[in-house]
Amino acid sequence: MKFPLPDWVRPVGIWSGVVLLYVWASWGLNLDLDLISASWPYMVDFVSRLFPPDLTVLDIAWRALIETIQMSLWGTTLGAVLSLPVALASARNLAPTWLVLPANLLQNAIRSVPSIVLGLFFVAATGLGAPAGTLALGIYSIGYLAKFYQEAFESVDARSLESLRVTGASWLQVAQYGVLPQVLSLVSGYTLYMFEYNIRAASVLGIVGAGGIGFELVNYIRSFEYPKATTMMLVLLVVVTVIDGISSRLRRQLEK
Amino acid sequence: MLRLNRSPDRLAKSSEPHLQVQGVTYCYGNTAALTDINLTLYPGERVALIGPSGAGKSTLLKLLNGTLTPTTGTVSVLGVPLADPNPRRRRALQQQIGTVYQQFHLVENLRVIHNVNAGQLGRWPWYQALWSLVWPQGIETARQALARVGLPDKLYSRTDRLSGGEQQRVAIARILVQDPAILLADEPISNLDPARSHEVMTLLTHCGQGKTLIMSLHALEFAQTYCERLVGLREGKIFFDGLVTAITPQQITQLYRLEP
Repeated sequence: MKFPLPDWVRPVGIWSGVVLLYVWASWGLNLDLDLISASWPYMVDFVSRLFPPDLTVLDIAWRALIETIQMSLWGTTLGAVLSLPVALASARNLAPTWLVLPANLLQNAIRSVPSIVLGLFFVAATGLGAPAGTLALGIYSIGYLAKFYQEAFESVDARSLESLRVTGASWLQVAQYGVLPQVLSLVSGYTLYMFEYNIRAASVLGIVGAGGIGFELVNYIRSFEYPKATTMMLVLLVVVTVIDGISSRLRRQLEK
Repeated sequence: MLRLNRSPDRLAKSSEPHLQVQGVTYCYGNTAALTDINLTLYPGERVALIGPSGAGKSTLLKLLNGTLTPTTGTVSVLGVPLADPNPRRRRALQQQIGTVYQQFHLVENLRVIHNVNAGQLGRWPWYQALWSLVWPQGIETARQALARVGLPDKLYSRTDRLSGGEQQRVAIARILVQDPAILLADEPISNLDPARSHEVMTLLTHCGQGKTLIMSLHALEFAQTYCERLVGLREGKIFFDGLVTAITPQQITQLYRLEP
């Protein structure tokens, strides 16, 4: 027989659990408040050396930036194309059970590799430059896009699929008439978001020599030319903002 | 169980049955939803499936169109068992069965023409079906079907912009295009007001002319008006099966009574 617990036990238990979790996590950080207050001048110094930006390198920034956008476009497209079959195989409502588990495992495996490791891998394979970055972005995108696509597929109205199946439609036709129209706007929205995200990710990949604006950014920081690095970051900021605006407008259009 | 006029005399007994259910039991896990169902439907019959909620009406219709496979027993369509392991042959059989649902079950963000054209999927190869989404095929057939259900100008409307009654008519237009020998309807009017219900029932019985029609209905008066044969289901078993004129009010009361 179960005896009832008072009402306050559950919330108190949950909150104590949360507090314990944070205390536990702070042990790993080795927080030292003295060190943090002592480090202020260094932070201020670093930031002050970033300004004013050196605009003489604006043309270099533009060229690198265009390369970054090109990398992101192809990388995202490659990722999207590769994500579709992975997502289809992972969707519980569409794929047979024996396929769902390995496909989800593959997704998780890709997701757990940091983009920078993928960058290093492809730099080793194809040498320094944009091709390595594009391939790295492509594979990196699968980890996220496949998950997004899978969730879109799984949210499809099962009853409309059933009503197509009973007319004698094949699996492929059910996908065309039932799944595709219901996921198209979500899938395009996610892909646009990934494109946006990849422009930022591409700048990180520059650190390992995989081309784009990140490559220039890191080079300037390594050679202590901070004002030039600032220009790179400002140009990136402008472009990310503009693309974010365009893509969120496009996504709104898609939802209509 | 009462059996009255199992196969009405005026329907030629020599003609092959359109649908035959033999010893069918269906279980969800350990609970039997249907037990030992035997049912034969001849061409052109109009049959209403009635009975209290949970009697197994929807399950029976799902077995008839191949959404579910019986746990034991067989369902035959036009003399051929529906549970064909060859998907191509099974789909060819399913093409001969059209289904209309209570909740319409249309693809809501497709345009009406594509939902109507879904009735062609059993006949179209996949590339033609895909191309049709870009460049609609079979426009004339779809237009005629929509005209017959009274929606001639909705060809390119988005399906989710239509009212419930209009969506149900789109579902019927899909069936017209599919042109099956057997027409199933699962509670086709329970989401519609009385006037629209009569419209849809008239359409179903009109479109179903020459076809075998079996529909589950909650509204008894509609069953008695539009169908000639009543099959009463209770607790997963056939309670009675006979011509509308032969079923007594007592049997109806017994069918819906609350206590076991």
